[in-house]
Amino acid sequence: MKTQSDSETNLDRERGTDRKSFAILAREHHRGLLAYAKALTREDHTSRDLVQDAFVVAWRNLATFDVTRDFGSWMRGIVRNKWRESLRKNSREVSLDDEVLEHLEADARQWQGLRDHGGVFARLEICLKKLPENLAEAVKAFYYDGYSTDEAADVLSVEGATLRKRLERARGGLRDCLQGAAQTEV
Amino acid sequence: MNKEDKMIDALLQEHARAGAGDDEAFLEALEQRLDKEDKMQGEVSGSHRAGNRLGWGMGIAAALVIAAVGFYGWQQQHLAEKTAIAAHDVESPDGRGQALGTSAESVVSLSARKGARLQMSPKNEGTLMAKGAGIDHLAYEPADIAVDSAAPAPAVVAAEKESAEPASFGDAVLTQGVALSNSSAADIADGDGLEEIHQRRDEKRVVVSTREENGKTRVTCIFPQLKFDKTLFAPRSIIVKDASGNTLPANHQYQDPAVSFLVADDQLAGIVIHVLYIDAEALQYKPTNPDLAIDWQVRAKQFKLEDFLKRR
Repeated sequence: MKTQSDSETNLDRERGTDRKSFAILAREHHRGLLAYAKALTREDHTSRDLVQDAFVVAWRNLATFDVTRDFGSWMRGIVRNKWRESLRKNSREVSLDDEVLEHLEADARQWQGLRDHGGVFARLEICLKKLPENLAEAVKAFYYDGYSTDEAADVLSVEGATLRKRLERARGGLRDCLQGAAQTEV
Repeated sequence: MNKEDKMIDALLQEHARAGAGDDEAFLEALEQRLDKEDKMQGEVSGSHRAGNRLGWGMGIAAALVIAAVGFYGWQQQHLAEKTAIAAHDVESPDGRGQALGTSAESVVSLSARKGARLQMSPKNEGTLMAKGAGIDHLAYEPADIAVDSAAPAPAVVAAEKESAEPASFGDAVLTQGVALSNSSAADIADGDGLEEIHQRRDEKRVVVSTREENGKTRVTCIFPQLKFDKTLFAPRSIIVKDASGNTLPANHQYQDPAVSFLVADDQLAGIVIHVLYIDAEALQYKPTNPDLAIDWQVRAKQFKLEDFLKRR
């Protein structure tokens, strides 16, 4: 799996050149990081702030970044640290266990490899089109139309449990689709 | 929701929010933050540079003040200690002090406390102390011999890090363990009357023995440990000079209180022996913190051989 872009290898210790490379890297990674942060925080605004802060920290500490390593992994590490930091500040319990974090990291790392071929979101669109109609409707109602599960169930005239089951199957199918695409890219 | 579905769930939410393209608003906000960050960094490093200049100026000024105060303090202490040593020797009640008393007038007293501190880094000092009695690189530059001078110039003491070079002592060179040739070592260890000499050693008496050797006189001196202000000083380095101030070849092993040298009879009267004393207890101290500055002292004394010979 290709996880290192030209921008990563071109990171120069000279600040002016760094800034250009860093901007390219930010563009390449920001959406994936926003999704990752949202998986951690489950909140839009918080996840955006988290990723912004993480990029600033990364920029400040760019000299410590090993260009032979994966920039995305490095950034996700910073995002995780910022997230834990915010949890401590807000006196909240860490709501995700290590197993969940491992799943998140594994998925993020795998999907990151799709960026050279339109990115994970472009691939997701393709995968969405491959879903069976009943599952695609459930996904559209819940994720894109903004209904709650009960509302979406009403709109689709199904039981709430049925909708939740469809959503679960849809997510599983999409994961498999993205995973297959990522493995194909390799 | 299954644990493994959390990422795809977040991915769907993010896709629903902003589609498959870039989040330009996010990137623009990020650019602005990075610009601010760069600007702040520039200001900070600029203020650091200004601070550095100010710091250097203040540092130099402080160093000058400290040096001036230190020099004044050293002068005062030097004068006080010279007086104290002379008084100690003269007032020695048991008469043994007379042996030194004669020479006391010509003693160059030196507290190396300040001089050494100025010339030694704490690290060196720590290393020095950690070596305990193994200090073997204490270099010392005695002032010109002014035996009868009322105010001889103070010696300068410097301690150096470990070096293969022999320690210099004045313009003589102490080649530890080398200068003490086999013959002279035998002189000291097995020489006639040496046992007696050792038996006669006491804390405040310089023991001198002479014997004829190849038409010249072999002089052996053993210097005692001395006590100044309750501090015990042990002889470390010994240099022998003739009346002209030239260093004579002498057999002396570093840290050994004995020195042996061969001189013509007509030179005996002008011989002056320089002894560098080191605070014996301080040398045994082993600090646990190598950066700890140890308070130790060095004293240099000059003895006229003639004084010893007269009292024999």
